[in-house]
Amino acid sequence: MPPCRRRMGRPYVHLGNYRDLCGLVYLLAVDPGHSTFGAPAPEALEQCVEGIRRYAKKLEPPFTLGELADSVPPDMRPSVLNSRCVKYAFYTSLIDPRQFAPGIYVTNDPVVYHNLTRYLEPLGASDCACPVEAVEFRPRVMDPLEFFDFYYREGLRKMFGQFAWRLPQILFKRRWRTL
Amino acid sequence: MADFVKLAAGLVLAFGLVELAKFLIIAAGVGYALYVFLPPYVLILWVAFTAFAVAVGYGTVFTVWRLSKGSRLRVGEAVALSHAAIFDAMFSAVTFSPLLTISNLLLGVALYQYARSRVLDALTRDIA
Repeated sequence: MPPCRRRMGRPYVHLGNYRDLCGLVYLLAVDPGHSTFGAPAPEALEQCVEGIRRYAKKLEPPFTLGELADSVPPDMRPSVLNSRCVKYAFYTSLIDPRQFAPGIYVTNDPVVYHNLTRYLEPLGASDCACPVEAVEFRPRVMDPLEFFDFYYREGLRKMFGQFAWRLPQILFKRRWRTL
Repeated sequence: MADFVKLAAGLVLAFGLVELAKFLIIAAGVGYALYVFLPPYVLILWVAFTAFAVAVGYGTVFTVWRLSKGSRLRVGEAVALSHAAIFDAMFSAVTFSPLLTISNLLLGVALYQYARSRVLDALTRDIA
C-alpha cells in the first residue's frame, strides 16, 4: 500500500463520498437559495441544461440570468429561464472563497463542486486507508452586489499584481542578469 | 448606454488626440535635445509607452462603442472594459499624460457604475 500523503497548505474540494478520503475533512452544507446574478462555471450550468456550456463559455463573467438566456438559442431559452437548477448554480457561484482555510472540503453536489473548482483545487479519492473525521462546514454566500464588488476588486488586484510583478522583470531583466 | 459612460469615452478620445499632438510636438522639437543629452533608449521607451497608452485608450473606447452598438453592454463586458480603462490610466500616469489618466479613470468609474446599475436592474426585476 502506498504511503498516506497528507495534503496540507491549500484548500481542496472533492466530489463524492467523504469515506473516499482520510483525515479531517469538511462536509459542505450550502443553504438552499437562488439568484439571477453571479459567475457560474459553464460545467456547473451544464449539469442543469444540456448543451449550455458552449454558450456560457462565450459570456464574460459575471453575468445575469437574462444575459445568459439572450445568448442561448431560442428553443433552449424557456428551459434556461424556468430552471431552478440554473438559478441554484448562480446562487452557489456567490459562495465567498475567502473563508476556505487550507483543508479538504467534500460535497456530493456537482453544481457546487464545479463552481468551487474555480477557487479550490480538485482532489480525487485517497489511495490509502486511515480513519476519517468529518466536520460540517456551512459556507457563507455573498449578496449579489457584494459579490460584484468582490469580483471587481479581485480583477483589479490580479491586474495590478501581475503588472507590478511583470514590469520590473521585463524592464530590468538584462540588468539583473549582468549584475 | 449611460450618458456618463458616453461622456467619459468622449473625453478619452479627445484627450488621446491631445496626447498624440503633444507627443508629435515633443518628439519633433525636444526629441533631438533628448537624443543629445539623454541615452536614446529613454526617448524610445517614452515614445513606445505613450503610443501604447493612447492605443489602449482608443481600443477601450472602440470596444465600448462596438459592443454597445447593437445591444446593451453586458455586465461582464463592462467589468472587463473598466479594468482595461484603469490599467490604461495607470500606464498614462507612467508616461506623464495627466489628461489621459484622468479621463481613463473617469471611464473606468463610469463603466463600474454602469455594470453595478445593470446588476441592480436584474435584481429588481427578479424581486418584481
